[in-house]
Amino acid sequence: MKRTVYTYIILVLLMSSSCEDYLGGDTNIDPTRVSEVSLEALLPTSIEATSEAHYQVALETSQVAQHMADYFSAGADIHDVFRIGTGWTNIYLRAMANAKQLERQAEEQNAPHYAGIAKIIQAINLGLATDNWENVPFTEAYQGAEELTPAYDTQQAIYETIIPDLLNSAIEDLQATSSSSSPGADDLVYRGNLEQWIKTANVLKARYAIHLTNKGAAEAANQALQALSGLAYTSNEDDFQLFYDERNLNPWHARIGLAINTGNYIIAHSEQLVEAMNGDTYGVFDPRLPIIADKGTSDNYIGMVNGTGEGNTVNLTVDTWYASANNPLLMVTYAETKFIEAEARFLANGGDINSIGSTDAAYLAYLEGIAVHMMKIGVDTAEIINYIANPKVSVGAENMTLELIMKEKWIALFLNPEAWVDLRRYDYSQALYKDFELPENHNPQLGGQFIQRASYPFDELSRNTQAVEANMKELPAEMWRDQ
Amino acid sequence: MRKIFYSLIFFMMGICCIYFTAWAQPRSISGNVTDLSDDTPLPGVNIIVKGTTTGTVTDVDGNYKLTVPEDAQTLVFSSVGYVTKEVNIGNQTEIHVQLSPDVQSLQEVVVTSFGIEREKKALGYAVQELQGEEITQTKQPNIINALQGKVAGVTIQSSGGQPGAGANIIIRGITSLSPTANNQPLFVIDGIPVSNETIAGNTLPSAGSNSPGSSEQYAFSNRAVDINPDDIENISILKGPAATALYGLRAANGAVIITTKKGKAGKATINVSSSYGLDVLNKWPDIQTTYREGRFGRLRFYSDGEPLRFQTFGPPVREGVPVYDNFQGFFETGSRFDNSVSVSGGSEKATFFTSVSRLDQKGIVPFSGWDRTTLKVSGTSQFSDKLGVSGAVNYINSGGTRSSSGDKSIFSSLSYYSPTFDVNDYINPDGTQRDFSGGIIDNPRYIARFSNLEDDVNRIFGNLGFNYKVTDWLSLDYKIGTDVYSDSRNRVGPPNTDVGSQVNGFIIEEKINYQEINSNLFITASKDITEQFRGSILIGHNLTDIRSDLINVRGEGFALRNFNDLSNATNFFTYKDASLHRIVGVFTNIELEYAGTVFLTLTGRNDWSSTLPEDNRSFFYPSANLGYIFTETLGLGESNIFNYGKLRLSYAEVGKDAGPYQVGRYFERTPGFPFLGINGFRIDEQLGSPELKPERTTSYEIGTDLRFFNNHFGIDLTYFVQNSQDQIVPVPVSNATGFSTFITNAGEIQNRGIELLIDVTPVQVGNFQWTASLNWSRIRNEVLSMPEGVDEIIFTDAFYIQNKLVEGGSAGDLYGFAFRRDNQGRLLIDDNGFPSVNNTEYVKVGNALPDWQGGLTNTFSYKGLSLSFLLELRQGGDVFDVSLRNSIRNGILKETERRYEQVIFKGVRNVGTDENPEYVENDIPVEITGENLYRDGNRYNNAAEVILQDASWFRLRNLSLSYSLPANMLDDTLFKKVQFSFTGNNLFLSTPFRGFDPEGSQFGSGSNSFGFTGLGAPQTRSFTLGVNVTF
Repeated sequence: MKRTVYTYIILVLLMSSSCEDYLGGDTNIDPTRVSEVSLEALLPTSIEATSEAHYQVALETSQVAQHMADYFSAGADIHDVFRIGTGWTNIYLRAMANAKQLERQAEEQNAPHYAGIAKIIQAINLGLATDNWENVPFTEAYQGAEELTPAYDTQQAIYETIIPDLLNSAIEDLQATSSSSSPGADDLVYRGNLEQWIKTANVLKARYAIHLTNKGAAEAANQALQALSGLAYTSNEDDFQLFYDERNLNPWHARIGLAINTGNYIIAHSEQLVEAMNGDTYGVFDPRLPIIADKGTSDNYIGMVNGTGEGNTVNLTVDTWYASANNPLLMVTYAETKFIEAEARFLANGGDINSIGSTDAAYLAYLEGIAVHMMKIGVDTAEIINYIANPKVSVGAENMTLELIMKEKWIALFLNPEAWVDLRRYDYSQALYKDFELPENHNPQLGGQFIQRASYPFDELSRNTQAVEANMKELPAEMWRDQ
Repeated sequence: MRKIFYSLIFFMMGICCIYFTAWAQPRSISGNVTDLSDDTPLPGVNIIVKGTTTGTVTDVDGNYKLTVPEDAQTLVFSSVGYVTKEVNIGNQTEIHVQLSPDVQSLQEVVVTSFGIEREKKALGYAVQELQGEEITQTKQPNIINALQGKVAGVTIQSSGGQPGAGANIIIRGITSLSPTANNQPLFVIDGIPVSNETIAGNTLPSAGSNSPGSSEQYAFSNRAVDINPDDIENISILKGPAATALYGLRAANGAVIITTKKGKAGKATINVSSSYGLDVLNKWPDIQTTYREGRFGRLRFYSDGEPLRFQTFGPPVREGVPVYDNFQGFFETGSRFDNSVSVSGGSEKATFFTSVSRLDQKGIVPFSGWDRTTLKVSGTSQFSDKLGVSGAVNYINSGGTRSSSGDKSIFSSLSYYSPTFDVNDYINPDGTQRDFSGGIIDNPRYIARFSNLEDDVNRIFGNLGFNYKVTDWLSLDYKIGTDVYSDSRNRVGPPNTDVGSQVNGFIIEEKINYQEINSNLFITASKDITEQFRGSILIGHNLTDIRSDLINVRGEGFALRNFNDLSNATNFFTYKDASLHRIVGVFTNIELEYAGTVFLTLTGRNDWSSTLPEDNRSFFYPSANLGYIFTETLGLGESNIFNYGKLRLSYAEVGKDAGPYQVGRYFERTPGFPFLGINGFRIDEQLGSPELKPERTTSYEIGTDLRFFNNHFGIDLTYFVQNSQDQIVPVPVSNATGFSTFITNAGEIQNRGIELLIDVTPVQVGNFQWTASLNWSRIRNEVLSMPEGVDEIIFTDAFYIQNKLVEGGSAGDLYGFAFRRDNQGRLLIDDNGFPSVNNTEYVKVGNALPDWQGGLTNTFSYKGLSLSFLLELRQGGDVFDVSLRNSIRNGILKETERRYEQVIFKGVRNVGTDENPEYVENDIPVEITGENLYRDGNRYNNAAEVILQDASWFRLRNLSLSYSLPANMLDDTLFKKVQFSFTGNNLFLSTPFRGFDPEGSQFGSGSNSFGFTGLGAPQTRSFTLGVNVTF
């Protein structure tokens, strides 16, 4: 019996002997993925995701900003709950996550030029996030399994410290004289031109400064002007924008323009925008209208009344500038810079929503903003001159109003998430945005109030419940920025 | 490896050849075995010289010939279903034997782990076995579908009526909290595992499809579809961890053990089986025939005359204008032509079995089809008293033209297609698409012809086994097997279709390679310790190596029209995937038997898996089961009333490892890149814990097997509880962590259920026999705990309906939007007079899994005539029909026919405030125009009450009538047996479900998506005539 037991044990041992070689080594290492990547592999990823995030956010917010209206008259279009889930994912999981990784690796490798760009990318994405959801995670984010439920930063902290710190430190990094490596073709926007990144950082500083007009208009204006006094955009060539190609299609082209070809109508220009540009509202026809809206074979430009889902003749077809395959997706532009400057100068001069007249500099910035945007989207020079010469446009510095600046900025920010920020900063004021009304079929839960925020995405709600619940607010509750 | 494999094939073929030439026969006995009750010859009877391994089996005529040693005393004749008989040899050279039938034999031998045959009475767990005939009589090309309604505790979900469509099988419930985990059993053929994977791959263009992935496209085959049903001798379903403990982690979800036919000693037998069948659509939704296309009651057009809208909310159809029932008219009559030939035979020392089969199938969807060619060579030989060798090789070629399914497919287009237009009028003389909506809705027939996927699978699987009897109590078994296949897929999305337009046409070439090698060694020692007390010990070693890779090349942007080749594309996207999974296992099985009354089995297995971190790689799990035939103790064995009673108890644990490459963090090429010629990488969105440990499933099972009236009535009842804890789950985490999912051990899920089998032989008079067997099961699933901080895990999100798991909930729970109601459940009517749907909150609205299911088979036989039918009942199980919602929104279904009618919705209005509601009966009259109700998600079509349906069913799953020519008629012919048969599937279906047959998942087999249908080829009713001839 004993012998049998021994034999048994020996056999078992024999059979289980050394399988380390068979199971260990590279056995469980995926040959199609890597454990380390270089800086130039991460940079294009985070840039492309940033552009995609701008599309995702603008797709929804442009309906509240009444650039566009929804064929299904739902969600943002009627001020119902909208969450921009894919936008959140692009911002947090793709753009910022890879930018953060880029920053960490760049710092380890002593490559401040990459680190600087990585910080700018984080700043613009964090700005995008806070402007839609208010309080959002950042300081506790990106710790992997160490922190699975990151708490949120307040919008105040984001505006007052996090974004300025990121941008200031980015500028410092970009000015560093030595960097172990510097971007080139992997920088899909500026092809390694660091000066243009510094300009972008300064324009972003100005943008996030002017966002705080409700915290003290003069202070916000001065901060913005100070930022712009540094190295800032001086031409449309400086724009922070991403060109696509026929392999990677511009999202507005692929998902709105091309979708129309097969009957997948998603959004069309809002009546508010069309009437602002076709002469109905302001008595002057804007030559940009035929470039950004396609009325097909119809005689007139008719927009869709938000909340109705119909009645329009115009669409964002592949023949329009923004949905053309060959045009870039605009994120931060020279035109926006000029309007930030115009608004800042107007406010710094003591102007307000009701005041008339400002400085020549404010007036010039306003006119230049119009002109450069028109040039950007290819309006004929003659038509630009013609439009600007219209007395309703070139009113003279003494007749300058905030309404003119903000209305023109709103047009120049077509399909840019910034447009909705401006509307909220000025509380959807009809004094600035003439005839801007609630959509039809307006969400009855809001009791006639305008919507102020996107709701946190379902994914985040179920995955980081405590943090979301601690920061959730009612749809018409103003963000800290706008209080 | 491939080289080795081919060598094996040749080696094996060699074995077969050697045999038929080499053996001499010094002394032989021959004879004939017949059935005592009707004198019919009995094929396949085992004849063994008692006390030796020398033996043979009878041929189809019941004849045998056997060479016996000089000193042979007794021959033992045994056959499943008959009482074993021993005959003294003496000086006889011719021995004829009659065996008496054992109505429901207790000596049944079932195949358990590693093909080990065990007496059913010795098992302490439930096993259900089906004979090959029960599979082939269904005429189902996919063996999984053939199991429908037959096995208690098994849930089968077919992915529809596409020829070659995959089918999903789950035994005893969903055991994983992970949406991507495999919940399906291990498939084993002749002791060696084979792949039953369904590989969805990627068939989507870079833009222009809203499909969640390829799992809802093309109803890809589960690879068990490659098995020729005619090759199957029997299938044994091992249901729980107790039954599968020896197989280890791969069989944690149960196992389907297939034993194939073997050659039998005697003259070569040729069997030819041929059948031809027709398939038709078995159920379709009713359409409205009153209104035509348009909106707001008018035919609307753009100013240039193009139709503006694709909806069917237009003016009434004028008299004389034809209306087309496209839901019915689109489908054709499908066909199946199935031929199979097998040749088998051998001597006492060596046997062979070869078969070749060919199935040609044409689907009910125009232009779709699938075919399968199989070739099998197998043999066994007894080199000496001690050494036996067996082997088999199968070659299969399968594939076909698959019709598109899912989003932007045939079926989504069909669900929108206005009944005023004939869907079959699909092409213009210049070859362009003809449709009614100006390019908005594709013509389904046009996509069926021009936008499909072809797959071509070449597969070889086989095994080679050695058996060596060291002494009479010690034997050694070794078997090595491999399964290798390649799957080449080609998909085209023409530029002028919805799915291809955004990328100007695309073509996808996908190559999938799969290879699996298994090696099993076991040593068995068995001994009678005393007269009453017997024991055996088995120790074994198992090695598994599974590797697969996939290369996907997508070309987009066609330069030329109608040239479907990669060279015609402008932009290229490539994707590669690879995986390697290795497992080493050591196991032992100890069996103890006392007096044929008490049977105790103990098992233990230790696995080492390559997919777990080194420190947690090794894990052990035990099992114990007990079978106690209490009627023996009570001395009831001779009783005519209660002649057999057995109690079964088992406890088992089984471990489960992770998928390959789930541990740690990776970077991957950013999808869509290179971008502007620059490549990019990103952090992989999934992070795997470096401390992953194996999952553990613990199961308790108690059962009893009771037989009465000389086995004319039998009940088998099983209750089980199975807990799976420490689940390896991709926990969804806040994107702000930098990841989307974190793979870790968390959560526990429980399945408990009852399985009931009843066998009755109500009538057995002379040559007439009526048998009935019922199986019934109900399974309850509960999520006992979730990963910390996670409230829900979404399995499938179809927006309007989600399948998700929450703590305290169960697998299959469906969530959706519901109508607003007051606290008494009355419909709340808005001030506009319409009901309203709460679109902001997901509430639980149903469950996709059935409450219980059962099948009843009745078989009547009289001489050569046999009629058998299977009634299947499935209670509960809710399904969201995606195409039904489309059809409601577009005014196509009968249920949208009430228009321009004033109604008052039954419900209440709140005339108080939100805080202090005061409800009064609604009295606001409203006019339904069509759009203002049916098209409106807020008022109607988003409500789960409208779009989620009860998919309970009662169906005549299968009816089979067969007639065998009497043996005496064939006496002077070449034929030994001639059988004609008629088979009908789904001849009758009763279900509250409106739409196509609810059996037909929108998502493919292996996808873990339950409760969704409507965007795939629907189920069929089929009629098959067959003839089976044995020479």
